[in-house]
Amino acid sequence: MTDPVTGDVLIVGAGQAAAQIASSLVSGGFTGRLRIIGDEPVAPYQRPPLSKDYLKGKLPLERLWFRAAEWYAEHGIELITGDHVVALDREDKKVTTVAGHTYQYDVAVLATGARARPLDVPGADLPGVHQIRTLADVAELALTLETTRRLVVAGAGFIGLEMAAVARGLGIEVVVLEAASRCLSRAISPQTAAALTELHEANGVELRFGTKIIGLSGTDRVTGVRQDDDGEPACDAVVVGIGALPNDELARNAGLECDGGIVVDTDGRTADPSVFAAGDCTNRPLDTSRGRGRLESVHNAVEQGKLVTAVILGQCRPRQDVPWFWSDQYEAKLQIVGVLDDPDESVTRHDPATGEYAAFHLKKGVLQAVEAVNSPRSFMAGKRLIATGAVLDAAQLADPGFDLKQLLRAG
Amino acid sequence: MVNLIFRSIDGSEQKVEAQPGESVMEVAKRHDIEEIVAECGGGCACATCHVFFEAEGFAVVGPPSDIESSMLDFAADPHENSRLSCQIQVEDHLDGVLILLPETQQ
Repeated sequence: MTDPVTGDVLIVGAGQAAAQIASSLVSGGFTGRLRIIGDEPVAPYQRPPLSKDYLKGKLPLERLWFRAAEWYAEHGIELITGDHVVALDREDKKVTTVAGHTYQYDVAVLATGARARPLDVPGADLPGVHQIRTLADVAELALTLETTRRLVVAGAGFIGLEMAAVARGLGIEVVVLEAASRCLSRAISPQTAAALTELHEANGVELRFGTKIIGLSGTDRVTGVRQDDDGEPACDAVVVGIGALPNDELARNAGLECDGGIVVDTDGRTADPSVFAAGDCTNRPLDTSRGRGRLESVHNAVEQGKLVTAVILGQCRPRQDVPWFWSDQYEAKLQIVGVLDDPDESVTRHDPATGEYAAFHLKKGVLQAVEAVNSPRSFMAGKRLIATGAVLDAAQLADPGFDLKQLLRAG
Repeated sequence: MVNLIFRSIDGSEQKVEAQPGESVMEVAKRHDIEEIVAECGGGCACATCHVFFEAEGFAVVGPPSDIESSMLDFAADPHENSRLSCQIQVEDHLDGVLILLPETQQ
């Protein structure tokens, strides 16, 4: 256990991790002073709905906020929005913002998140080309979508596929261009990628794999996309979803080790004992053969937020969950738990009667990851089974007639 | 205005006011009710907003959907008459309902 911090805690960033730390510090009885600095002009809000229900117009803005803006002041938290921290001075323990303000800290938490990777080709700055990361992005995109007839989506990752699903729901023609040989090549297995490709094709999406975008055409606005295989799909809008870059420049410039994210230990601490990091911007220890990596998920931001809070409060570290993630596409609810780490055995479970699908990935008989589509039972069972590390019989996992709950009762 | 009562495992109660149009989970989060974690923000994807009811309350809120049931079947701290609070919409007829909170959501 560490000594509790009773002085000034400064959070750089005002997203999921920052909101979690604020909540957890308050409920943990923090007696020091908390200050949060975010570069968006609004209070912390949930990002997942931006590519789902909020984009569809099915969720009012008020339901995105983690807390009403007044909550922060009511709890003595100074929330500074619309300002961007440009320098971290670890010797004098202060930060400087683009507006020219400086703020001291006893403990700093870098929760700067990630930004959408820009498409680096001629024409990428034409009107009608969008990314999906912030509320401001979605406000612009929603306007464009009102008149879009044909959309090209760059990238068949989660953002791209969720966008494709929303667009199809609006009756917009969609072409998805992906440089890799399949969709979601970073995040999910080939088996589940195939199932999702089928789902999108069944909904009228045209997916083109193994193709790079070399330019966007148009003068006043985008009119088409040029591919390296001479493909030239016409369109009146483009959404770019080609990955996220961790915002680790502040840490890097301050001399902190970064490697695809700000490097932190099991306490969320950098090499500087007064500087922590949490969320999408971190490279953290993981239970995989590589030993560490970046997890881009709500769950990770929440977990690291709670962890850093416990350290600051000098309390017991919270129990860590198996990493998990979800994505909504059409009527499909994709839920993923665990991290794919060169499985040596994979089985799928498919119940045509209920439409449930799940892929189980094992290494030496131990379950490491589960991808479930409309199978909350497989997801929830998978969460527990991965945590226990039990050796399992893959045939039982694959059998839709076998009730996974039995595996939890056993042993 | 709809009045809801949240009761923790230690017997302590919190009476809160809610509006039709939000979910019971959102009401709980707004009132800092710690037992409701709601990691997925209400998407029926995580089962950490689990609550349960006595028979009377359960008759008022109604049974869970199939997806909810599947998630609840694996909830951390199982109880009879369970619901995922993100799937319960606040409506006038919920006025005065007693909502029981589990010990843990993990």
